[in-house]
Amino acid sequence: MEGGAADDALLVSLRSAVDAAPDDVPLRLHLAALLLERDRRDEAVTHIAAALQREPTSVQALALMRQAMSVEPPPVTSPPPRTAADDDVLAGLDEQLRDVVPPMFVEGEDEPEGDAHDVEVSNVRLGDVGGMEQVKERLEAAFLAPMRNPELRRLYGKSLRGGLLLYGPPGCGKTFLARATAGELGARFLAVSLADILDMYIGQSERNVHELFETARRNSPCLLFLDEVDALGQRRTNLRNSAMRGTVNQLLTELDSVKSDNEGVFVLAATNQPWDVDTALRRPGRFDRMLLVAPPDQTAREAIFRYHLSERPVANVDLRKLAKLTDGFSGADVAHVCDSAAERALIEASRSGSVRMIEMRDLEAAAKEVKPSTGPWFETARNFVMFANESGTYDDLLAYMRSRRLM
Amino acid sequence: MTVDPAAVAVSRAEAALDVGRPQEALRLLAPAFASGDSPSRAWCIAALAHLNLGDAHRAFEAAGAATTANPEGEWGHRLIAVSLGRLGRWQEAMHAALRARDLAPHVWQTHLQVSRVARALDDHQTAWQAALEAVRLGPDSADTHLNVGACALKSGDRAQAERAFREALRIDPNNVGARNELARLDLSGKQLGAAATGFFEAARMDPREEAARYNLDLTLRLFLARIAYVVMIGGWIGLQVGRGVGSGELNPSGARVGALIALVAAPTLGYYRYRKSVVGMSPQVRRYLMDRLRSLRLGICIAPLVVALILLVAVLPAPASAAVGLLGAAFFCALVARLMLWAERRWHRRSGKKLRS
Repeated sequence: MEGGAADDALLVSLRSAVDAAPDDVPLRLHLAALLLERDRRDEAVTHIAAALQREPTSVQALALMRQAMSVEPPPVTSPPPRTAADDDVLAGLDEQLRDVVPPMFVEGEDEPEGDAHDVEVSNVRLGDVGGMEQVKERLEAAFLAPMRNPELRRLYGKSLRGGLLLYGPPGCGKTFLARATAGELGARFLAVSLADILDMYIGQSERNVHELFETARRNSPCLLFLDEVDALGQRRTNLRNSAMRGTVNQLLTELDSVKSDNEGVFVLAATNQPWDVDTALRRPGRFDRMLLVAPPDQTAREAIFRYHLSERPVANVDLRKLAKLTDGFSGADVAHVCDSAAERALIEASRSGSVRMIEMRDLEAAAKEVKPSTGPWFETARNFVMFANESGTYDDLLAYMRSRRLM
Repeated sequence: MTVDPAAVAVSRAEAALDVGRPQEALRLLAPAFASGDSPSRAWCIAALAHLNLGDAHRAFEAAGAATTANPEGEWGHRLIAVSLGRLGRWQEAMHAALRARDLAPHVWQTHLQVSRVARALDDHQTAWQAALEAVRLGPDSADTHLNVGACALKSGDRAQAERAFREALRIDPNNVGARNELARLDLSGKQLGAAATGFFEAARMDPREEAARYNLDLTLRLFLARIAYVVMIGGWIGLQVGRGVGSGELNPSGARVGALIALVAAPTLGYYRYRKSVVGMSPQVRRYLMDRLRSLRLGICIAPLVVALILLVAVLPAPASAAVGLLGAAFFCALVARLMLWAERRWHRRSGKKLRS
């Protein structure tokens, strides 16, 4: 307690000193460092920014700014969990009141009130994603850091408009990464699948899109994840149906947030076919940043193998060796390898009549049988990289494909 | 108000097809078929989905079911014609296309289909008449103009073909077919650079379009073959002069002049001939073509051409005793390069045939 009071006194005197000598950068940075130690990030950021204004190349200031940007998100405040005792009490009250006070109005068999879309709380964090360090780093820098630091965002005049488009071959974990991003932000997760998108094209399509964004706003902070966004944001020139064009236009309006406030709504989209996404959707303020989610690297494959084998009877499995054997496999392919290996063991067990564990030989044989499903995707991607990359949209894909000798 | 699940399923499937998900469309159609009273439209969408998936047999079956459900619906008959065309059964396709046209003579798509089938059957008159009727009924469709261009090309009217392709491009600037056909006109007019740029543009519009890429690669091969030809002819002339044809004595100075002609004059003339094409080539096309040149197969073909050029350079300072021999070797290498490029191009054309089929 005494220490805390002394600290406060130190901060007060340092603030006075900074006010007296606003151009003293070391003094400002010292104050900012102390503020960061005490978790007063917003004030610290203000001082670091002021220091950077005076000395834009200051290494210490930049380091402090990075530190301020990479802070953990505030814990999600949620109501205390209901206990069995609470339930008992409520159930008892219901029981007692049922006969005494009849309901005022009786509704028909309409759908219950509430959001048409399922909003869930994501418990997954980026730390739960095995490997894929590069993707996680880019996700952190391009999306998470600005989202977590409202003060910094205001300082640099960065609006929350716009989102990030994840792209890559199917089955490589784009949805899982989106879920983990929601977990990192402490936000609710609202996923829109292809089936939802197709439903939007039926009936009042514009209203359906608007309702989707309204649901996200009502559940703010919320990460709205548009899976297979190429279906929703299909190039309007490809669409024959005018109602579908209206849907795309409405999506653009919602993203631009001219009429509505998108504060607290983070939009993330994923697609296997980024080339089919309407260019209007990729303009600044919309999905202006793209992130390649390539097939999992060796560490990630190890983690995926571990996950899929954890509930199965396995013996002497060398995960590292398996991961090396399955270079270029997607997460879905790895899962398929595990299923095939289990199937082999099962068939052998049923033939011999004696149960045995899934062994390394089963997994190795399965890995040889399963062909990476990402091949056709890279074949198509190759043509787009070669012919339609004037603006450098697919530069990261080009670099990846060159590094893997896929070009 | 009750909602018909079959109608909802069909609407969903249509939407799925429109956003490029034929597999999903087929899956979504299941409730429509399960109702037992499958509407003709559902079968038509199924046929279209199968066509998009490249399964003409199943498309034919689905289109047949559509016509059974509604014999008076033109769409089903038209889809039968498309499916049979894909299967190479053109006579039967014509029968179905004519039936569709008779059912809906006011629909331009029916005339277009008749024209396409007639073109495949080399029935130029029917193809022309149907093509013009399709344009009359659907003047704002790029497809109708594209078809007129194709008919004109088949009957050798290049000017009309070009006009029609340009009109198709004006209506739909992203029409890959029209862009590709215009580039093909450039290719047949020996404008290799313009053709390459056109094919590249078509491939850029839709990189999944294999025809444009195939044609672009073909253009590169033709260009290389011409270079080899020019070097070969230059070398042959030099060799004749160097061997002293007529006088019977070796003429090293003549050989050097011949080498110089092959090295400088012939490429200069070639450049003069193709200057517009080469200068007009966009940097992306050049980069792509350079990338292709690095491929193993083309690399092997080009190697003797490069050797021929090196030998031609070596002729200039070479002693009199070696000049004629070097020139002869250069001529031989250019000849080998020309033959290898010819063989490689034939191999490349085979993959083009597969593409057309």
